[in-house]
Amino acid sequence: MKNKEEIHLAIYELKDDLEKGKLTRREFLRYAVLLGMSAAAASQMAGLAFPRRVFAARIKRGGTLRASGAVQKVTHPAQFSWVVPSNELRQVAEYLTYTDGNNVTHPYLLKDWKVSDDLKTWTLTLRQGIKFNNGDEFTADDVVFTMNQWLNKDVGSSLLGMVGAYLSPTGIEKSGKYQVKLHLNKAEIAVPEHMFHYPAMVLNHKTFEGDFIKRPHGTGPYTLEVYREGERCVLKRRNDYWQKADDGKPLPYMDGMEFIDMGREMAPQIAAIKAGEIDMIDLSDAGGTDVYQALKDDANINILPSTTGQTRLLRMRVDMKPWSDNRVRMALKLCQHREKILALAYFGQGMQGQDCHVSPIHPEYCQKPIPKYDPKRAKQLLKEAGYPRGLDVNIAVSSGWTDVVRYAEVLKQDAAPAGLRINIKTMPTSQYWEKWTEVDLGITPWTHRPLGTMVLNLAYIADAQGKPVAWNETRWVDKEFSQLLEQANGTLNVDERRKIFCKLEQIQMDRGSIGIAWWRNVWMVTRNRVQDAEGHPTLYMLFNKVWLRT
Amino acid sequence: MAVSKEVSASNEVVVSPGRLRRLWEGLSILFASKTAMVGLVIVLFWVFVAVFAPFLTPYTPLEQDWKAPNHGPTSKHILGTDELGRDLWSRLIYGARLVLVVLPISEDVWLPGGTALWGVLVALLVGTTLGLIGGYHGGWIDEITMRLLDAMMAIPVILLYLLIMAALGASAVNVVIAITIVGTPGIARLVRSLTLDIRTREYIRAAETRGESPWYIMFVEILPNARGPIIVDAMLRVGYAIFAMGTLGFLGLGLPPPSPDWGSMVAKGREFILAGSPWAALWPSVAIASLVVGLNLLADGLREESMRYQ
Repeated sequence: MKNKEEIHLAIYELKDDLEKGKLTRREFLRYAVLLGMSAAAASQMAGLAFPRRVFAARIKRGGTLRASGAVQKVTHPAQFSWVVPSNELRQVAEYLTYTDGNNVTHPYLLKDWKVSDDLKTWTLTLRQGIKFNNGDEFTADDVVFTMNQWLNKDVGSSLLGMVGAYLSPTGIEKSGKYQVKLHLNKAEIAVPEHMFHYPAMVLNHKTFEGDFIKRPHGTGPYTLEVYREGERCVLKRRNDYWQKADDGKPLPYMDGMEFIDMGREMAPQIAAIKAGEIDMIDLSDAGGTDVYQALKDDANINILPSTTGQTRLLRMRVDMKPWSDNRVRMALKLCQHREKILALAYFGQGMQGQDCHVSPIHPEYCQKPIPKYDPKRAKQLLKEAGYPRGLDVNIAVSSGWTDVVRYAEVLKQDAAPAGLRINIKTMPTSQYWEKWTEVDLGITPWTHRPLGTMVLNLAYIADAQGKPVAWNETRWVDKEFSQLLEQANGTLNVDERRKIFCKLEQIQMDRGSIGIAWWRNVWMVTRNRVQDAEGHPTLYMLFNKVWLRT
Repeated sequence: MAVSKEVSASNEVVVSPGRLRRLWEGLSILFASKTAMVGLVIVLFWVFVAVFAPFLTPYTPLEQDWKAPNHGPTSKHILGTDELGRDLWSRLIYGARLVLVVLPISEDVWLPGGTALWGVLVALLVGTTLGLIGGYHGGWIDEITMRLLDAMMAIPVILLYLLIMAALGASAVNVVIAITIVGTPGIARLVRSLTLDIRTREYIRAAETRGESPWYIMFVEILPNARGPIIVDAMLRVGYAIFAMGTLGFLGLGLPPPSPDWGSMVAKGREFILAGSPWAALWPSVAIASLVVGLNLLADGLREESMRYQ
């Protein structure tokens, strides 16, 4: 247990809020842990018994888990743009933190972290005694090296936009062999979450030269034996992994894992899992509705659902006509019959959205009413905007995302009474990604992120020069919104933070550039011989303690 | 006036029985072949449902019933509903219209003649012209034209379709353009080989001696005498064009949604086959297969009978 002096002062405020009923226990746990308290201590403070996995004799060691998943061409982990390769290689290399299925972030390769009262100085203390699979010791040099890779423009990592917004290379200080201090340019509380973003794998500073596949030296429970692009990825258990099982022996329980690239077609993968030829389907980068539909009633299959912040974004470029006029944007948003869209596009497997990019599972979420389908009001708005005879618009969608196509088809029908005549322009997925930031109207998939601030900082602000940031696909920048978001980034008190989010959400709903009809559920799909697998909103495969029933 | 009336009347008396006789001869070839008759019945069925589609269903092909997606056949929806609750029978017969009866230029503008038929017609016009010119003139025009068309034929057909559609974008007119580009080399080769044979005949020499223009000789003397194989080939090509439409629709490059395009109906419906709702994928697959088989039977029967007849 930490001394009272070491506990961040804000934790006492959080405890007070918890007792007054302003915070749920889950929210208290999240914030206390973020402020450097251990999950066990935070649980005790919240009056909860810390859930410990009781080792049962029933757990069997051995066996190889076979999963279907794309084996893509990858070199630098910081350049990952898909979750699938991270799921394969996260078994070999690990992260400084981890965010569990309940959206609570814990230390991982870190022993703990401490944050200054102004949320600008983060002291990261590393676990000692961890070794890379080539025998090198894990030290602060590896953390400094890895973070510099994230911030290196030549590497081109998506973490540059995320972490680079508040941290520069000169702000990373090695303050001991096992300690690193981060001096941020501005207050930020999502630092631990960012350290678990899928491209943030910790690299070995002594051996990494740009291609992880050539020298796959990580701290994880498995070693990389085979990685053949388009074919398979084979992982083998290492015997000196730093995490111990509840029986005192090293994890993992399984002898190995094998990922087989079965292509993008789901039918053969469904047939393979039904026949027991594979044990799971990695759906992290796939739609999954067909898999869910086909397997939901199969007694041999476990389907673990997770509610998420994943969505399909109806996005409008505000620097292009007619979307530069907020009345036209609002008209299109009003044409979303959300209940119908969720029912038809995603078979009711999710939650209805409110045209602001904050999901109900985000801790900062401020409850808002679901906007009603209102073609009459939409028609009136179009008339006011100078389109009394309606408007012809093209919407770009990938034919590869079937739920997106269904969404567009429902929208087309429901927008017709308002005078919005939508022509659906389909294209292959690769073609959509070539122009996703360029089209004036389109539907873009956005993945889950654990905090509301993370996605808002990524897509709805401008950089220091005043230009929309790289992933701001709608070019929408609002002065008041940016100021409020800046304030939210440094606000710890959850009530205060939620108050800011109430305003942020309202601004996006009133004059924003996006429509969000629904938030998607995702599913971890395994055969029932796979034991103790847990669902995750990003479908990260955290499989250290997974074992196979014989 | 009186003279012209007489001429006109005499023409009618002389020409009409000739045309009727030729038509009857053509039909008798058709009726003589059981294969051709089976094909004709299948094709006529699809033509009938396509032409009279609005009278054969109470639903439009785009009408969504969000309370009834993926239903099997019922008395309300005889073939069931698709993933958006749209009536599958309506989508199937309106899909036949797109293939055989109408070419949608935009949402509101339509041309008579189906997308597949237009594709084959334009390919016939272009291919026949190139084949006639190449075959009749010979020389460097023939060499350049044929080498270019050979180069096009060397590219796998599906790849060529994908390249064209990816470059042009998904629309009915672009499907016609793609069918034309892919179909032209084969037709040009066929017409050229027929022309090379026919241009050695006596009546072509006679026409040349009369001083007829090359265009007259190509289109009035040669083309009518090459029509038999061209018609049979065209029928087969309509089948290929329907397959091409289905393939492009299946790959998401055909007619854009929510068009009742058979290929895209299969593509969308297959997501639900393993979930126990095979109907949305089954019916358009049956439609494509039956229409193509019908056209092939018709063409095969005609070819066999006309060869026997000759």
